[in-house]
Amino acid sequence: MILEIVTTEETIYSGEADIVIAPGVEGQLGILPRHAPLLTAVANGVVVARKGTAEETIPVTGGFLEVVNDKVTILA
Amino acid sequence: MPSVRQIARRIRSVENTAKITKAMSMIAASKLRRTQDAATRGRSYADNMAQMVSNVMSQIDDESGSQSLAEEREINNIGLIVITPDRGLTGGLNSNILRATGDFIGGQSVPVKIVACGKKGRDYSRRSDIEIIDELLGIGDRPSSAETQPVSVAMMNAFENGDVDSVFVSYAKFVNTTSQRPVIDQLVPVVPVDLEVSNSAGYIFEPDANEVLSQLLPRYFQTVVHQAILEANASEQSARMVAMNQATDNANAMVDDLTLVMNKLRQETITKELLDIVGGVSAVES
Repeated sequence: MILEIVTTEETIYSGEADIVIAPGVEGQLGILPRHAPLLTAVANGVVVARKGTAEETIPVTGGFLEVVNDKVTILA
Repeated sequence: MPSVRQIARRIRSVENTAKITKAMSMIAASKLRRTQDAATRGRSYADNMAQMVSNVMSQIDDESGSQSLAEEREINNIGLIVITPDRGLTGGLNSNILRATGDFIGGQSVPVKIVACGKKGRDYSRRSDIEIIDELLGIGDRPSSAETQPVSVAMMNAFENGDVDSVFVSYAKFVNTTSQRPVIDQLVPVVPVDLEVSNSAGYIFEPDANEVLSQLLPRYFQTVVHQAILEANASEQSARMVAMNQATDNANAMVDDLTLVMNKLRQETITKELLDIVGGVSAVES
């Protein structure tokens, strides 16, 4: 599963992830590979991307999250 | 026939002009790097956003009626966001944008109202008696999205109030340093862009489609306008750089020409004086 976090200024994260945990407006979302297409607004918070044992945390301040074709795009 | 001294003065003045145009071209070159960077980096966000919106729009045509920004109604007035530089000395850029804009307006059967971003577009609208909804001047070289927001907000308000029924944006797209293309894009009603058609499997919306769309569409609107302004800035700087480079070259060529004329003239005067002296001497001797 590919995770891409894009801001108006630049792409701040792009890479593989086994699980993405994002702060949706309706609560935390855990997205695993082969998730169904999803579109939601994102609240302020931290996006966690886990790949094996490695873990990345990226703070976001609102935006949108889209899951399509095994690709997670967060427009922050 | 100008005198040697007059030509010398002319040469000095042209040299001074060349110094100024050279400085302007160097300033534009350094600004170009920054603005070009901003424009190219903003593209991935704008493209992703456009993709997202068209994915969503392709799927919920029946529900979109309740979304004001996606609403299609009879078109009685057209809103146009005209993005131009504030200043001149950009070669043909300004007139190219304004010509494209003028052609567009001329081709419409209904009145066009303008939100002007940049002085040249504002002046143009005033000259041609086009209604100006709002204007925003003096945007910097690398505006933040907060700085460009008033433009999109003004136009969105006009759309929501029914002052305009569709919105277009006119700007110069940055292709490369020597080429900027004036383009006019439709913004509202949102047209699904023909990017890659992703699987049409139903989206899950959280909280629901209308809620998400009501946040996504204004954001999309702002993103498109913001990106257009970034592109326009890069176009302005590159056009100015090229124009000023050319001006410097022309000035230098002119200095060369004038120097040649001056030298010829000086030589001629000396020859004439010599002839006079020689002639005078032989007259006295004979």
